[in-house]
Amino acid sequence: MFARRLMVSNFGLGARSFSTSGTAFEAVRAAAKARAGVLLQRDPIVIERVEGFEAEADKYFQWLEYVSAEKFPREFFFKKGSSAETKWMELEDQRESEWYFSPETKPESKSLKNETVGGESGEAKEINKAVEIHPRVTKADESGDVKSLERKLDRTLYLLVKDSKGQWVFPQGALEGEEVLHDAARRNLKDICGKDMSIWTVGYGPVGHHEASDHTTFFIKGHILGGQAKPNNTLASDFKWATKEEIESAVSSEYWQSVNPMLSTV
Amino acid sequence: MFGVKSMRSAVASTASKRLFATSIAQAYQTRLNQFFHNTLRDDLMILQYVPPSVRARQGAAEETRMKEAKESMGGTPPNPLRKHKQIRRPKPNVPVPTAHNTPFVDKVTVHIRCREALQNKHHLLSALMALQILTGERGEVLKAKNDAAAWKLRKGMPISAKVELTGDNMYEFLDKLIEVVLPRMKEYHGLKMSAGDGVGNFTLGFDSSVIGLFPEMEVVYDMFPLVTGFSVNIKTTAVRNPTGRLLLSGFGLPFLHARKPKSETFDL
Repeated sequence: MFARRLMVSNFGLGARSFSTSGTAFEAVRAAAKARAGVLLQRDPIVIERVEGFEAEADKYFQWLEYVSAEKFPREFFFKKGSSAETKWMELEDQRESEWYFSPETKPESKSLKNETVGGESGEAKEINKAVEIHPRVTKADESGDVKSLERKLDRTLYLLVKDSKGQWVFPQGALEGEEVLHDAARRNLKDICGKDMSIWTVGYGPVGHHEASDHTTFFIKGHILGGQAKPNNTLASDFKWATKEEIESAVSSEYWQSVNPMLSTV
Repeated sequence: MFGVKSMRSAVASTASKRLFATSIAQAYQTRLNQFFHNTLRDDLMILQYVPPSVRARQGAAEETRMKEAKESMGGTPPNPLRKHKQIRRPKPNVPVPTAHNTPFVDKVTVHIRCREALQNKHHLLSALMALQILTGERGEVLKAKNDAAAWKLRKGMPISAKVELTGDNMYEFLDKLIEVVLPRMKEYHGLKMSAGDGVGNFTLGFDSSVIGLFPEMEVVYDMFPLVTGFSVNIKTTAVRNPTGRLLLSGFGLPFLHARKPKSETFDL
């Protein structure tokens, strides 16, 4: 389901290039105020939903491309009387009905399928199986299972956890010892959400931050490639995979102000 | 289909190669195109980002290094009369990475060089047909620019065919190549780290065994009198090779350090 990421992780900068003395982050860290959080996202699995005028316009442009394209060399591609040829002719006959220019200009249509000898195509039909297309709306969508990773396939889902105060936040925790931000983020994610997730974190620098009263959380972006979150009940009582709108309704308004720009619209 | 008057032949017969575009940009984008715009582009921006403090530190280090090199440089001073001699094509300057100048794939050129066309130019038809099947677009025949007596090549001889892909067709071709064809190849482990033309464009070369691995070609492989290899040139807006590698690895194109197989290595 999830493709393995093959990206070059340490592009240009080294693992410690963001951690130098004298930067703002160092100052915050020195005061033991910095926390490392993870913006963990499940990328969209299917292409974007196209509706209404967009869908109609796409159909029109695709038809224009089809009609003005090179003539398809049927004799070259298909053996006469083969099941593949019959299948193609059925599709062509379906397309005959479409004509987006004015109706007077539509040329006479002749069914391709009926050209062939009836006997052969009848046998071929039995061999033909319709291609099964899975629905875009999954079981998780229908049941509203917010813990499932197979919900809202065309959207980006982000991992939210319920912390000890009952607030929905992105997984975050303190930095221990001399560890750098991205190491701390990964470790905290493992501590809070378990080791059963296969994660790829993007680079070494944060993509956003949230300033709370006593600490500042810096978020490292990550993608989940496989597995599922299994929260540690002491650190997080609950978790969910939420879209951008669902995050807005779940988190506090100040948190949303900080976190909003990091999130994808899709 | 031949001789049957239908809407398909009515419009298609007017132009063998489209002189103008019949459609404007579509709202629909292919899978790889959407993946790039919605997911990959953000990651590229994050990976390329250098914070101002680090950039200042790198700039200062670069300056001291240049200064030391100039001071320590010995030997004869450069000859001003030879200043006009540009040995290498100057590379464009590396821009500061921002959200707006992340690299993207600009153009993919599929090119087939047909050696058999030296004897008989009709062999190019196989190449043109192959290009049409692989890419969905009509190939352009290229003529030789120079003479090469060693191969009996004369200037102006048709010798190869190419298709330049942009937009959705380009992404579809790349998707097919990376997801279907490369995994089917025997012993293909990826592009070398030395690959690239120095300014972020990459070329993959394939022999005739690979062309049959395309799903479209499997159906009609037997029909081809001549099966050729092909090369794929990926032109990116990256300005240097590492940036280009970053972009293409994001699409799933593997890159590997060249390692000798165990049979060729030994311990002393």
